[in-house]
Amino acid sequence: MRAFFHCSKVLWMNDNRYFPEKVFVTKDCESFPITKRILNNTHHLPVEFITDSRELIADVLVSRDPVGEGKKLLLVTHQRGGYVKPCPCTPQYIGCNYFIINADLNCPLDCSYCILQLYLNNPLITVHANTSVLYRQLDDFLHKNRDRALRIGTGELGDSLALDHLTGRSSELISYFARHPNVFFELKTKTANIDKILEHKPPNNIVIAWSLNSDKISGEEEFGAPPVLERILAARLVSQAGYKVGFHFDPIIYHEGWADGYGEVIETLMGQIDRKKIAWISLGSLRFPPALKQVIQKRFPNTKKIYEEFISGKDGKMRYPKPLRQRLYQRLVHDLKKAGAGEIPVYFCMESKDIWLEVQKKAPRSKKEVEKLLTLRLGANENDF
Amino acid sequence: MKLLDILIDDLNLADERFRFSYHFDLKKLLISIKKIGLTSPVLVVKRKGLPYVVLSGWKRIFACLELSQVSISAFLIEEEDDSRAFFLSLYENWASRDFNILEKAEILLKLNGLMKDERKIVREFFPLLDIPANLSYFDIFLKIAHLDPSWKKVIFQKKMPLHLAQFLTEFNRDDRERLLPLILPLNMNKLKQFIEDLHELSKKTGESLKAILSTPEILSVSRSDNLSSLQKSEKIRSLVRTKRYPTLSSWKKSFETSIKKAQLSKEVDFDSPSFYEDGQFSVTFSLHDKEAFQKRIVKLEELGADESLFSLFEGFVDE
Repeated sequence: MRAFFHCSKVLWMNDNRYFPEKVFVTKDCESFPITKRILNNTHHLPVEFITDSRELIADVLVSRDPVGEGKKLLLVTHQRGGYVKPCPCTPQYIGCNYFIINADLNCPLDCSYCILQLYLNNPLITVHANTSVLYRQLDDFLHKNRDRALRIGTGELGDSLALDHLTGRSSELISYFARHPNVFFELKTKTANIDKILEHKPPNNIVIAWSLNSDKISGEEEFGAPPVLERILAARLVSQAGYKVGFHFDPIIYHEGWADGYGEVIETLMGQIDRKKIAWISLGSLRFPPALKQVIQKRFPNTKKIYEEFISGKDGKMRYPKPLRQRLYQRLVHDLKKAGAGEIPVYFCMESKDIWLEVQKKAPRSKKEVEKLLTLRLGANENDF
Repeated sequence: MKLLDILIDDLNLADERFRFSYHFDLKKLLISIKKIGLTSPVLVVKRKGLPYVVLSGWKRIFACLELSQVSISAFLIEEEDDSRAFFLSLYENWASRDFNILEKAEILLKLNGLMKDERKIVREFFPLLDIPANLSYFDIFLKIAHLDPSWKKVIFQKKMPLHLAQFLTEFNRDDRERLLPLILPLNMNKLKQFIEDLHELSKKTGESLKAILSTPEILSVSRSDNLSSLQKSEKIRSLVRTKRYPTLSSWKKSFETSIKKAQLSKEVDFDSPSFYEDGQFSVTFSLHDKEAFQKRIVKLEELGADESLFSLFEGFVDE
């Protein structure tokens, strides 16, 4: 087995978990419970209380690598906008009716392909501390949607668990959603930071999910993230504790030996995890807005993955040509079935109807159908759709 | 500030400490000076050596020289400090026009020498120059400022965007020399595609430009006596594109072969789906009256019976 964390461009990992070089707290957030927990868990680090984060952010933005520099600093501040939003998905492709909670912003991991590198309004690792607003907004949102099954998660603008040892965010959220059985709440991660998760009695509607890739891609492109085997072993512990787990092969990246690479991970996965505990598996091939290419060229000059053949998709994002995507998906779906995952819902993230038809032999007519496919098996009521 | 009429010989044109514009088109200014004279005096300062150092107005001075004028109207600025004098020149120009990327590069090179504090330069001057306030852009512009004059001329003449100029700085000097004659005949769109393909191919394969441009196919094109420089550039660009996108190129070729085999009439166009992403082929034909319409329908019926055409619908297999 490889070392737990392979070489990272920045040395910000300590004891296998993320610790920033410095913590900044806006003064209006000083008294919030999550701020107190963070300060308690980072008592050995320098802390600065600031009135306004704009000057700090502007200073980081000037640096040669704002994304890399931003990962060294933790900012605790207010969420000024809405916490709960529909997943933006992508135009022209089939979505899955997912909702996202923007609790934290940015991620201490440093994956070359990460879309967050393009969102440069604020490159700092940011924890939004005004959680009473979050729960108020969630109450409103869930009340409006009380008669339907919902899927909601936190892994859109950052890793759901990478900061958990500092914030304890997962405990709060799991306790909250345990009281809302019609909602399937997903925490999505690449880490093995599961201590807080294991402290809970697992509610039925919580899914802890891991993003997986081939060993080669994980080693070459997912800097700071634990090797895939560590993620699978963490998933095993969590599933053995009684949680449902999910897996996202996303982004699937075409590379030499890809078929064997992904095949081995699938074999390990299905050998380690009780399939009855797997809520869903998603597949999505590498796709990115054209502007991300220049950022990757600059930040990861050694990566060659962006120089494969891409086409401009119907949504304007760069994608592999359809026949190649089809081939990637067909192989992974075949390997999943062969490894015994035949009963587990497998869905595509941001893919076309054609791909669904070619690979799965059936295509959902709407994103609601995808939602139904994923949640019925978890106990959602047929009338909730 | 005094308004003087000074001899052009008294200007120390070798002192370029405040100069950031090296490429101009004098045509319009020459006509204007001939018609109405020079309406806007240049700015000069006094320094050691020849009495006057040019602060702003190089284009006007060169135009006057071209017109064999011996003197020029100038404002003498009493400013001893080079930094402040440079800011004056910068703001004087900034207020009246946009800078091209070569001028921005020269401005940043000069500011770097005068101020030393690169973060301060980024924060104060990048917004003025419409450059994202980030130090990585500083590096890019400084590299552009150090390019050979022949390349700067190409960047100016072709109005090359920043990212292409940046790619050029990433090739070594020998590779740039090799590239120069190939890109000169190309229009901007083709030049852009060619440089991007070469850059990405070089990144993907780890090969130098020399290696990429030394395949037997490319060498035979570049050594051909029967091709014009434009034809050579076009052919080499196309070969590089095929090497950069082998699968997409083979699909395109396969589509074109199928169309050729089907022997479609000139009045009917058969188009492949955009990037083969949505699977929708399109057939278009033009007509001007009922009779032409009926003829097209007959032709389409014939096409429908043509088995060779059906290979188009079988999809493209990635080998």
